[in-house]
Amino acid sequence: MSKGPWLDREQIMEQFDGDEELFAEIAELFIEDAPKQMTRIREAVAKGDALALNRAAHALKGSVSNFGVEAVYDLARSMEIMGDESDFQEAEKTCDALGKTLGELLREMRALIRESGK
Amino acid sequence: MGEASTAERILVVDDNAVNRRMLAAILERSGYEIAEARDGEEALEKAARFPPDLVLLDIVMPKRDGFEVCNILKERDQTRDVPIIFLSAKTEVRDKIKGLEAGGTDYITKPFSKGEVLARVRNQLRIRSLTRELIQVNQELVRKQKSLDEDLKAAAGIQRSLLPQNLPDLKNVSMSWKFLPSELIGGDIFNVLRLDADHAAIYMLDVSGHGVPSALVTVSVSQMLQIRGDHLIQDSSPCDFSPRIASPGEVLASLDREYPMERFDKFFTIVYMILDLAKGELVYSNGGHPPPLLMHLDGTVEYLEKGGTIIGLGGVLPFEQGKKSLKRGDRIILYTDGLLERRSPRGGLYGKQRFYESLIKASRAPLETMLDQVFEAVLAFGGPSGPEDDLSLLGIELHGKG
Repeated sequence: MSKGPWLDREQIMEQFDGDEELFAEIAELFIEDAPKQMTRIREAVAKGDALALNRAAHALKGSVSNFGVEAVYDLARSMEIMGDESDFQEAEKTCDALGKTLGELLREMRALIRESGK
Repeated sequence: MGEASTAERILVVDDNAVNRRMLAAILERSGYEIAEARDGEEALEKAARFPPDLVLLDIVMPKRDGFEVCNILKERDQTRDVPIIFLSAKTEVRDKIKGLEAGGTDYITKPFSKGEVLARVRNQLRIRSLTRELIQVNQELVRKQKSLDEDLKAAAGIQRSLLPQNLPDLKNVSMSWKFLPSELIGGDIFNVLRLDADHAAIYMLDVSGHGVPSALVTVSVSQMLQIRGDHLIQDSSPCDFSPRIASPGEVLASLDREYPMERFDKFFTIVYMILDLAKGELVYSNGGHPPPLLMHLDGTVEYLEKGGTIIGLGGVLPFEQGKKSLKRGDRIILYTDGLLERRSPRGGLYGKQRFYESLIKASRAPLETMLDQVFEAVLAFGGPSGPEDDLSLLGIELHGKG
């Protein structure tokens, strides 16, 4: 599995129309929100709760889409589909990969916010 | 970053906090007033309390999805015309179509880009404000039209009041009339005036065109003939103190001077006659009007053909007078060309001949019945459509003398 950097500065600035302040605001919200969604995903996988998995993965997918991080987006989407199809075969493995990648993304994001002088 | 001129209100509905905040932050920075809702229920509640100018609406949400919220907003009077932009994932084409079918005006795909969000929002708000303006202008027009219609009805009432409501009570004379304007108010008018114990004036005029301008000219002329007696009664010579009644030729000449065509950009035709009840004599003149008919009891009919040009040409020709001795049972019929020019659905004109025949056919009936029957025949000829021109018909019958 490839490692970061996950964030493409240029693409982000295009999406946020060069508005660094807006990026910082949304990134901070994401940093706060994403771990909660990740916890819900883990719990759903542990319990085998397909509907909860589908919902939480859908939410994380939506949030991360704002930063164009495909690796996290694709993993979240896979988990959303697993929830939809009640297919837990690969769930634990995918969940670990998602958690790891998300952790790296969040670290990188924090650094980027500090760097942009917020 | 362009500030919105007035704080337009946008309701952002998305269960995803990051997405919701992203949209709200983009829009707040452009000066819009924002309310946020995290599910369908909250969206409906805020839409009622906040009332928004625009709604950004996510599709997949707990407690009522976006389609359901859209349907309910479209059912409420308050939010029926509020544009709705759906928020959909790039991959879900079917949702975009379903959203537009549900009454959504546009959609924005996730992930959101700041530029696209602002462009689509501005577009929809612009359309919304133009639509509102259009609705407002339209309401104003409807209101004005209503007031115009009311004015026109009032004017028609006034014009009708100038028609012979109470025909003068003349010894041995009965009268009847029919009038149907092509629009609410018309360009025809007629009346019978008592001048002195033995004399009555009878006139009928038809101003070119119809509607308000023509009607106003009819009012002006009829007021002049009614009030300004000097047109009817000429000043006598200095040594003779008994007033003399102006002859029909003199009245028409004076109208021709008073109403040159340039004055109102209108001309008119008129028949003017003086009935001498003591002598049983009729003196008339005609300014370009269809000739009146004189019907005798024995079934013969005469056209009263003397006269001159239409009124308004400035005295190019004199107004010749005709004189007739009347017998008991004679009927004088005045009418406007609207009757002769009534068109059948196939396009033919009613014409002089049919009019003449309809009068003969009904001549045995009492005067009022005769006029009713002739008028009915003329109307029936034109089929179900209303008249294209004003229709006037006036009849006078002599009982005494002869």
